[in-house]
Amino acid sequence: MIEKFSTGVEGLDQLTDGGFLRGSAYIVQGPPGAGKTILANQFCYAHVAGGGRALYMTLLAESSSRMLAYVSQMGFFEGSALPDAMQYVSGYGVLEREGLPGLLKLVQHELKRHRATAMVLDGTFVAQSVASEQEFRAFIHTLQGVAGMAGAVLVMLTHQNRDASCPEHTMVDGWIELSDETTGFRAYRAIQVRKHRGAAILPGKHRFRITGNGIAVFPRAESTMDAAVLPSAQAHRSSIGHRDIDGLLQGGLPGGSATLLVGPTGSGKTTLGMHFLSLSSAQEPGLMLGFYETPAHIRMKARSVGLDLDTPTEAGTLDIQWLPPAENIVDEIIRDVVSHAKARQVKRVFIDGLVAIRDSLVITRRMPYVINALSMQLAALGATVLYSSEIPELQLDEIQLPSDELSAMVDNVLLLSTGRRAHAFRRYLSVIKLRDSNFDPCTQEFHINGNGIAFGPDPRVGPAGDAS
Amino acid sequence: MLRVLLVEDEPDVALVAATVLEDAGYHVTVASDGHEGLEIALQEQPELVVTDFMMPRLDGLEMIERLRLAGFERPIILATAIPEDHLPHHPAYDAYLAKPYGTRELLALVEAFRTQLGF
Repeated sequence: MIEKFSTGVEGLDQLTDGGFLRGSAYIVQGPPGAGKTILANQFCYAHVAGGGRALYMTLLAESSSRMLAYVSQMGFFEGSALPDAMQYVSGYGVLEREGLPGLLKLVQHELKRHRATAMVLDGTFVAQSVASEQEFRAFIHTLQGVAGMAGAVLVMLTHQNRDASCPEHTMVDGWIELSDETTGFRAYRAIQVRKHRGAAILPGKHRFRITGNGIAVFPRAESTMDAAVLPSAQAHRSSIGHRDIDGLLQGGLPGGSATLLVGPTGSGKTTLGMHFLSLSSAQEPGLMLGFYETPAHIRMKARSVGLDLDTPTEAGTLDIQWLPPAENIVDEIIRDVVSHAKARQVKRVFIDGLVAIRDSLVITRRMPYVINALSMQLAALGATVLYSSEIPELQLDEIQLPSDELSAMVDNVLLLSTGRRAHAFRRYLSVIKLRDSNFDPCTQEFHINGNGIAFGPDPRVGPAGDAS
Repeated sequence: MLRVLLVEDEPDVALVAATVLEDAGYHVTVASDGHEGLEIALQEQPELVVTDFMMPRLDGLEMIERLRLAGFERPIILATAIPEDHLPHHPAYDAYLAKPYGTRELLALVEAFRTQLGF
């Protein structure tokens, strides 16, 4: 089995099935500013931290000391690795004076001199520009051989103007592409492992971010689904935090299930979610992720309808998180929710606002698969999850779910609708779907008072008459 | 005219530094790695050497070590992006210059040696 070296980026290790293979050669390709240099440096410092030795050779005319000045600001930088375990050298002068044969000799010499087990060649396209296509092909071939014999990982950085038909892509062991893409006014970064010999890659494009700690890659949530960790059906019921609604649900939601609360604004979705979270305890820790209201606002809102989220929050059994609905990466959100749920053994999760998740997706048709992936991962942890989803206002006699693949991806669907009848605003609750269970199909009118949700019409407005 | 040997593998740094020093009236020879720097220093015996550390073939500290062993006693400035406290203990260089450096810093340091050497 060939030894693998971490790429230094957790998400990229996932995409590459564990990292770079010892003695193999890789191309990292992308336009200027895509993050190639950061990725390569991150790899080197991770490699050195793991006991390896790395050499960064640039063929670019620009100063590596200036690059080092930028890199030294990144969280992964470790100054003590310099100059022993990590070195930067320029091959530009040798390439200019002696061409590819001189550069090859230099690489061989430097690998040996530094006893490097990882080497980055920055600006590989410069080498291509001083030679014929045939000479360049021979250079790549020999370079691969040199790295292989030295047992080193060779990472060659190059720009985007070399397409898949160029010989180097067929010759190397792996090919990673970084891109800057734009949809409307939104720009985002994507990474794709185009090739990796001897490894089961996660294909397709995945989002990444450049942070002060380097590159963070977020594999598409649906691509990381592992059949081995899929949950088995759980027999127990998980109370929704409201006795009458539990009654409609034959005792509560199936444990480890995913429930969609759909309804228009003001229909009581967040209030129902707060009922559910109010049962958070040491045995069943809770997690709420909201996009529109801050944790303080949520707690205040709960107090205003007689629900206590303060006690579990202060006891540390409920964590209310808020993420402004800006340009989030959904796969990052899912990763964080799952890792949080895992760390705290969370059993009750309420995601308030699927619209914010959908709006963060570049490709919105991923939505049902993304939610399915999140639900499955949470279910594998034994967590029961509620999602709230906004739909346009419905009249009671028009109740029907919009044709939405999302409904098929969850176990249970509760519809909260609103209507104006008998001169009053009214709320109704219907169970539309309940996993492997019978349920009470009757639509219930409810109102919200100082004790949260209460079945029946608001006493202040009286019955609506025929509400069936 | 004081002769300066500039040992630097990064072409743009070498070009800028050499131009600035020449404009200030120094005679500058450029070597692109430690190996070449060693040969030129021993052959031409410049009054001052300014050398990078991380270079191909022979790094700056190895070059300095070999120069001192060969009896080269003239001042050497080590210019590197590596913080000085991360450098191996090596008393053989006479001054440290942090990279990336400004031309004013380079000139000031070289000027100080020029005065010290009585040029």
